[in-house]
Amino acid sequence: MKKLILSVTIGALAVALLNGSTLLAQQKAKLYAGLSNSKGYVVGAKLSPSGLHVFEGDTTWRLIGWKHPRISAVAFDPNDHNMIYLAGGNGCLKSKDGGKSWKITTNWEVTESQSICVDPNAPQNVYISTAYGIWRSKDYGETWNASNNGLPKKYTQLVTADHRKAGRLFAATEGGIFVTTNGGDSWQLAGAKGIESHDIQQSVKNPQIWIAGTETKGVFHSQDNGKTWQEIGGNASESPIYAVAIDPFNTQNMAAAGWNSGVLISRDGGKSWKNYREGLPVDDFYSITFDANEPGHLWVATIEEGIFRSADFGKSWEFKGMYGSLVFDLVFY
Amino acid sequence: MFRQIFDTNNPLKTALAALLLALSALPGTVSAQNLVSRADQLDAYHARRDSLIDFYAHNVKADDLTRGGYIDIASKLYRGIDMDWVEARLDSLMQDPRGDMFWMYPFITVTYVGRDKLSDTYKKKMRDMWRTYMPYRGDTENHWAMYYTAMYLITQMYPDEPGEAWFNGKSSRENHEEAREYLIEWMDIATTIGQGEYDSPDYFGVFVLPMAQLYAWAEDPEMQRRGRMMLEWILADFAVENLHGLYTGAHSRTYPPQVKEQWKVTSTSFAWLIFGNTPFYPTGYAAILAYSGFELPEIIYHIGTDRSQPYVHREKKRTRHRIRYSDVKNAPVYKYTYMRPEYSIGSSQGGLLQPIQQHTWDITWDVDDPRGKHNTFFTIHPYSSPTELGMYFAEHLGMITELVVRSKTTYDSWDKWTGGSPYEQVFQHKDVVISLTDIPEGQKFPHFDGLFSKDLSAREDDASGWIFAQGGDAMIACYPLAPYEWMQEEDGTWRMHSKSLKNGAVVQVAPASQFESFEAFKKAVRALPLQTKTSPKAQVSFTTLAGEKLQFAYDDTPTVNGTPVDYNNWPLFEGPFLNAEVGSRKLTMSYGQLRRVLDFNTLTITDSVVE
Repeated sequence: MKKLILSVTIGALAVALLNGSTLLAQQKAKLYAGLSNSKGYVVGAKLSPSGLHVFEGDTTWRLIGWKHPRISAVAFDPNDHNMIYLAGGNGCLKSKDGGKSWKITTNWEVTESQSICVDPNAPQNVYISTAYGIWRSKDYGETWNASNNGLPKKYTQLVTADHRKAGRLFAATEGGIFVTTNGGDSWQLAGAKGIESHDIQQSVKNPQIWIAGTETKGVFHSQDNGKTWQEIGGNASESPIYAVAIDPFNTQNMAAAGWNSGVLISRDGGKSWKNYREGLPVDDFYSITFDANEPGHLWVATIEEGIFRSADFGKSWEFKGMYGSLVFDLVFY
Repeated sequence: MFRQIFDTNNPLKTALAALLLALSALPGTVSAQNLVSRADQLDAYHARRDSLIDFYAHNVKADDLTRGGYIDIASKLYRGIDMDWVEARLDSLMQDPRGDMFWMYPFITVTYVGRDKLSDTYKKKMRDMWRTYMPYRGDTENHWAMYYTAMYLITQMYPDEPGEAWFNGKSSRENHEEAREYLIEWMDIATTIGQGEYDSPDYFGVFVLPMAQLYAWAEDPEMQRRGRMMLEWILADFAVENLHGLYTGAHSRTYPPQVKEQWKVTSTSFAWLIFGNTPFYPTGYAAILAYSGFELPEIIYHIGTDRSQPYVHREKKRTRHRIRYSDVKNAPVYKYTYMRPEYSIGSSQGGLLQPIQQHTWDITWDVDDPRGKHNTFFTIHPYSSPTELGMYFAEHLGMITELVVRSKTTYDSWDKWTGGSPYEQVFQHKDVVISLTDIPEGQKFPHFDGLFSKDLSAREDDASGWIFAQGGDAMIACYPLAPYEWMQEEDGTWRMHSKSLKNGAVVQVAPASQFESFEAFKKAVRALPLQTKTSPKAQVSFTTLAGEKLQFAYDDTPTVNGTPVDYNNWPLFEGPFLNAEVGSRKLTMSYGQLRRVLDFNTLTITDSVVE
């Protein structure tokens, strides 16, 4: 799973990104990772630094807040950069002060959280997906209620918002890709019926374009703002795809990765995909994202072998730290 | 001989013991064989309790600061000894907290056991740990039971503190209410549709200990009573299926070594403590029960120790929460146990009932000293699949097996002896078990195995197709439905290994006392009507030594003398000792004329003696 939070925010930072050329004149986005330093870890074992990390250059990452065995996802309030939401093993962790202090705002019912999402056009509405379904908060993550009406299978890997329309969100569930247009009051099937889905991303530059990763059918594609979804097929359907990404500077550039997949990259808007494995220690990945600051730079998180960056669309890779970690989420903000 | 604990001539036997003696002769009752008075029970229990606490109190010498855990600390605090060592070890351990809920339960134990003995300085240091260390809540019911019990108790001790004072940012009140709500929710589920991580010899302790902690330290009378009642519920559930300390039959979770040497497991330490019917096996879990001041009700003691008469006991349990690949969150588990003085046979219906560590059925025969003994027999289809794991764990399927194998090392091994299979179905009636398989082509481990212990006194392939064996006073006949070969393991275990996919076994057990000789048993079994097929599917028609006709075909409902087994009305508990209806929240314990009712509807415990 990956998110380009920058792409779904409202405000100067997002405007800067959308107008790519002026980006560098603005504040640079930081790269955050929600992770578990998992190599050798089982519940109850001594825990290496795990939780929310921010990239500080070269191979250095700094832990923000608590050590936590699993941070699955991170989200930010688009209007208040100090408001951070984490989906973790202990539920939703919220910080109002940029990560200095935290509160778990969910109760015992919210467990095994997989993703978290702030609706950029209605940021009081926060969504968290879990192994037991979707939960919604209408008060900035302070209180939560179940939001599963219409979902035939509750297991939901990811929930993500349409950054152009308040209350419109997509969910990657065990039963396929589902959409809500009423802020989670009800959900309807949008595509990939019956196919366990893992990740969904919307293009920053062209919000009509979405892609998704699934367990058994690889990458799916939508060119009509998520109304219909098509299986891409070919080598993009040969492996379970856990994470997908669209270049915020160029919608023609797409990437996908998962289990035994290598890194799949398309330079033609999803028509053809090339597989890159050379220079990477494993073929297995959890997260992938395009750089929000450097056009065409791609970041991937391998399964426990570290985070890598490519500046040439997968031809070569540079180790960027976090060996031993499962990085569940890579987020530029 | 450890069983001599029961052979007391203590003159303080109570009148109740005499009453039980009289009742034992009544028809329709299980006899009160163990004529141990309540006073003797308690004396013996207190002695064991004290020796267990002493064991840990003296486990580490006062001049050895290199080792010692929280249970050692708690025990020294309980005894009020070696306070310098206690504080030094606390300092050391608190520098590097680890273990999540496995840190929380011993730490809260030290906190409460030491509350009147530790200095304010140490109390303050310990209090601050709950602000600076964030434990993981975990992903299963035993984790949550330990986590929320600890949260309930620590926020009870520090009731009026703001969110900043706690690792999770919630105030004392918020944490306390959440913990209370979860614990009551869990109790409600367990007392209506059954416990999830049911009857686990290994994980038994991590449910007993939080309930013991609530019983010992909850100040709210309702919560304290709930703790007591749930503790009794779990201990009674164990009592009825233990054979001289061994937790017999089907289990939700166990480990490969313990499925063979059944004594060397957590539940043994509790059996030793509360029943005194097995050799000393110390665990910190049992030590916490010892600190709690809990005294086992007399009726549970008798249920746990009287094996004078055979009985059938049925239970309904449920699977761990299924998060995907299933239409139900908690599928029912139908448990059946036939207990005799010589052996116990227990089973579940097969299928995928728990991830990784399921033990579907077994025979456990009685031995005088179970240490080092593999006094068991069972069959298994070893199954490994990411889909099974994904049903219970929220990880991607590609990596899930590797993650599991890190802690459950045999899960993906062809020769494992634990785990359920969706292609294995089991039916039991008294001392007969029929296990059938229908393994699809392409499965990772396409074979069916039977464990023939190193401790069998006989194991013979018979020309009739039966395999005859004897363990202790249990005579065992196993009829494999398909050809097999023998493989021997390093520890002496013989593996009956069959590669046929449509497969199974019929297992008839009998007490040695019912036959003049092993030869007579074999002759009787050979003469039993038996028809088996493996095409188009595995099926069996068998008339037992007791003359009952059993029929079972894969995917069909089994019948006993032509009557289908009624799984729809399977009770929460049913037998001579424990009875409860599904959804009732009410358990009735019976022994002779003694009755004890745990009623979670009214939060009452009622004792009576029936006329």
